[in-house]
Amino acid sequence: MRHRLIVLLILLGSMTLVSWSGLFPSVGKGSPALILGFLLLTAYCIAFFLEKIRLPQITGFIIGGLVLGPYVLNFFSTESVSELNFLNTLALAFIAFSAGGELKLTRFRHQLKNILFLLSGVTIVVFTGVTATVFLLSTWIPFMSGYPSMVRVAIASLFGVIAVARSPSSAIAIISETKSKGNYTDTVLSVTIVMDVLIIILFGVVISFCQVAITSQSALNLSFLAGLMIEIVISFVIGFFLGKASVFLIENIKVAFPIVLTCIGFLVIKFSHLMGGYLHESHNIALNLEPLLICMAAGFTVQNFSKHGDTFLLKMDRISAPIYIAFFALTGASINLDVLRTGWFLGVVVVVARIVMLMVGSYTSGRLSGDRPLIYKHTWLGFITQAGVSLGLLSEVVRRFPEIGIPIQTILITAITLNQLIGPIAFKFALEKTGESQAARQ
Amino acid sequence: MKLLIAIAIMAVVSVAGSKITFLGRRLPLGFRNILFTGSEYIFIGILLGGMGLNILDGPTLEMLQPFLIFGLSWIGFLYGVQFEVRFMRHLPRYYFSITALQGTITFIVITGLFYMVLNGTAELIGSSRLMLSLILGATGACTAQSAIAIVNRNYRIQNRSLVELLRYISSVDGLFALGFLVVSLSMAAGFRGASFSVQSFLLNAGLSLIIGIVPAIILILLSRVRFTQQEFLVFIVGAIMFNGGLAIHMDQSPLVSGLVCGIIVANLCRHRLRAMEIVMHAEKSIYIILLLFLGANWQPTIGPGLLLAAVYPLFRITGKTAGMWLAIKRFKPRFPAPSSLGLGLISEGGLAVAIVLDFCMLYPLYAKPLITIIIVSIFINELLSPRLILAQFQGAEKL
Repeated sequence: MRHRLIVLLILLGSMTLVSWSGLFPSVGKGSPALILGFLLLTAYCIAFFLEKIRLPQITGFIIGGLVLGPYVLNFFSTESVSELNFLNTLALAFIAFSAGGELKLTRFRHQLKNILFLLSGVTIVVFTGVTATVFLLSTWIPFMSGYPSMVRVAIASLFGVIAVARSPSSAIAIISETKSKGNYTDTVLSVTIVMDVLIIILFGVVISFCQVAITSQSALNLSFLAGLMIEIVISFVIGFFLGKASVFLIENIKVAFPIVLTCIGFLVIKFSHLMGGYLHESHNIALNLEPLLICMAAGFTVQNFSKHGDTFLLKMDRISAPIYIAFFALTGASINLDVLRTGWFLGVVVVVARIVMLMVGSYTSGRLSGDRPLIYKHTWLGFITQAGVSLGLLSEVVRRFPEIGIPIQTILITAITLNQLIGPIAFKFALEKTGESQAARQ
Repeated sequence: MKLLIAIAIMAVVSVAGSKITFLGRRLPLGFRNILFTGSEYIFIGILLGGMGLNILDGPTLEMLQPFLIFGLSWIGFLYGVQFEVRFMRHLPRYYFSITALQGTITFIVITGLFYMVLNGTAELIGSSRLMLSLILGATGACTAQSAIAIVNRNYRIQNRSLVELLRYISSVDGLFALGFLVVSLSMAAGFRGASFSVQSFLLNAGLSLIIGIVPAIILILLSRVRFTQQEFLVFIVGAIMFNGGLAIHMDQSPLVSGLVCGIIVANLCRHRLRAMEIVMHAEKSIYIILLLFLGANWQPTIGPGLLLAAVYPLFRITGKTAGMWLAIKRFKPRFPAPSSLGLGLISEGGLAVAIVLDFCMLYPLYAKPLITIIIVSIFINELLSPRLILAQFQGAEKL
C-alpha cells in the first residue's frame, strides 16, 4: 500500500513538473507516449486504492482517467485524448474477440431457456418502460414539449432503445478481474453479448420509425429489416472465416497471436466502416457490416469450432490488463463534466427508470423461466453497465437527427456515465452475493 | 485512416515476422545473411514508405512517432536490464577491458576519419560536421550478434573461448556506443547557442542520465509487493512508455533513459529476470518495427551522401581492426586470438539502427545522410561479416 502511494506521488509529481512548471517546454512529439504511460501507471494505482474500499478495478480506471483528464486535474487536453482514440478501436477489437471466445456453446446450452426468457423479457420491459417514462415526462422536458405526441413517442423510443444496450467489455473485464465462474456469470455474459447483436436490429427498427415520425421523409419501410438481416448474416459468415484464419494463426504464431488478432480485428473494424461509406457514396448501396459482430463471431468460431478455445482465452487474458486499463482510463478521461453538469437531472431520471425496469424485467423473466431465486434476484445488477455500444448508437442518433440529437446526447451521456460508474460496482457485488467470484468461492 | 492502417500493418508484420526471422534455414550463406538477420524488414519498410506504397509517408511517420519512442525506450531498457553487475563479475574482467578499448578506439577512428572527410567535401557548418562524425562514430562502435550467431550455428568451431569473447564484445560494446551517443547528444545541446556552452553540455548529459531513474524507481516500488503476471506487464509497459514519453518531452533520448532505467532495474529490482523475460519476448518485434521505420524513412539521393555511405564501412572496418588489435596487444587473452580479430566484429544491426533513429528523431536535419549511410552499411556488413568471422577461426568445419 505504502509503495503504491509513493509511486502515485512520484507520478503526479513528475507530471506536475513537466506539464505545469514550464521548465521543460514540450516539443509535443512525446505527448501521447507520456500520457499513455502516465495513465497506465496512475490509473492502476488509483484502482488499487479504490479496490481497498471494494470498488471494482474498472471503476478505478474510469475514475483515474476522469480525475487526471482535461476536466479535473488537466494533466492532458481533450485533443490529446482524441489522439489516443485509435487505442479504443484496438481495445474494442480485442474485447469483441474475447467476448465471442467467452461464448462456449457447451456451457450455456443447458441454460438456453433462461437466456431466451431474459433476453426477451428484459428487452421488452426496459424498452417500453423507459420509453413510457420519458414520454410521460416529455411535457416538462424543454426540447420535447413543443412536439406533437407522435414525435414525442418517437423521441422517447430513442431513449428506450439506448437503455436496452449493455456493455460486454465491462462485463468481461469484471468477470476477468473477479475470476468468476458459474451459472450466474454465464447467464449475464451470454445475455449481454447476444443483446449486443439484438440491439443493432432493434435500433434499426426504432430509427426507421423515428425517421418517419420526426422528419416524415418516407413511409415506414419494413424492407430495411431484410437488409439488416442480410448484413448480420454476412457479418457472421465473414466472422466465421476470420475465426478459421485465427485458428491458423494460433497454430502457427502461437504465443504472440493475441496481438496479431487484435490488429486484424482493428483492420476489420476500419475496413467495414470504409466499405460501408464507399458503397453508400458510390453505388447507393446501404450495406453496413457490423464489425464488432464479425470479431465476436470469429472469437466464437475459435472457441466452438476448434480445439484451441481454452488456449485462446488464456493467451488473450494474459495481455488483457494494459488494454483494459488504457481503454477504461481513456473512457474516463473522455467524460465531459460540463455535459454532466447540464444534463444531470434528466440523466438521473433515465438511470433510475432503467434500473427499475431492469429489476422488473429480469425478476419476472427469471421466475417465468424457472431459474433459481439466487440468480434471478441478482441478474439486473449485471445489466446496469453501459459504454461503447450505447455511445456509438447515440452518435448515430445525433448524425440522423441533429436538431434533437444534441439534447438527447447530453442527457444520455450523463445516464451512460452514471451507469458506467454504478454498473461495475453492482455487478461485482452480485458476483460475490451469488458466490461465483473467486473471493466468494474461497 | 492511413495512420490506422499503418499501425495495424506494422503490428502484424512485426509480430508475425518475429516468428520467421533469425531462423536457421538451409539457404546459401549470402542469401541467409540478408534474409534471416532481419535486414529484409528494411526492404519492407522501403516498400511501405514514400518510395513504395506510400502507406508510411512523412506525415504518417510523424504521427507514428509515439510508437518509435516506445520502441526505443523498450530497446534501451532491454539492453540495460542485461547489465547485472553480479552476473558480469562471473566473466573474466579483461573481456570488459578489451571491449572498452576496442569500442573507444573504433569510435575515435571513425569520428576522426569522418570529420576529416567531411571537412574536405561536405557543405556543412563546423558543428554539423562534428555532430555527424560523432554520431557515426557512436553507431560504428557497436556490433550486432546476428552474424556471429549464424557462423556459430552452422560451423563446428574449435576455439570456443574466442567465440565466447566475440559474443561478449558484441553484447557489451553497445553500452559504450550508447555512452558515445550521450556525448554526441550533449555536444549537440552545447552547440545550440551562438557558441559552444559547456554548461548546456553538462546539463544535457546529466539530465539524460537522470530521467531513467524515475521510471526505474516506479518499477522497483511497484514490484515490491505481491502482483500477478498481468499486473507486471502493466508495470513494464507503463514504465517503459512513461520513460520514453518523459525523455522526449524533455528533449532527451528515450534510448539512453531506457538504458539507465534498465541498468537500475537489473541491479536493484528483485524481479529483474521476470522483467527481462517480458522485454525479451517482444525484442524481435520491436527491432522489426525499428527496421520498418528505417526503411520507410529512407530518401536516397545521388550525391555526396552515397559517397559517405561507401566510405563509412571502410572506416568502420579500420576502426574495429585497429581497436581490437590494440586491445589484444594490451590485455592479452588467455587463448589464441588472431590480430585481425576486429574483422569478426563488423556485423551491424539493431542497436546501430536504434541509435540513428533516436538521433534523427531529436535532430531531423541529419536524417537523410545518416539513414542512407546506415542502410548501405548494414547491407555491406551483413554480406561480408560471416565470411570475415569465419576467417578468424582456423579449421572451422561446416555442420
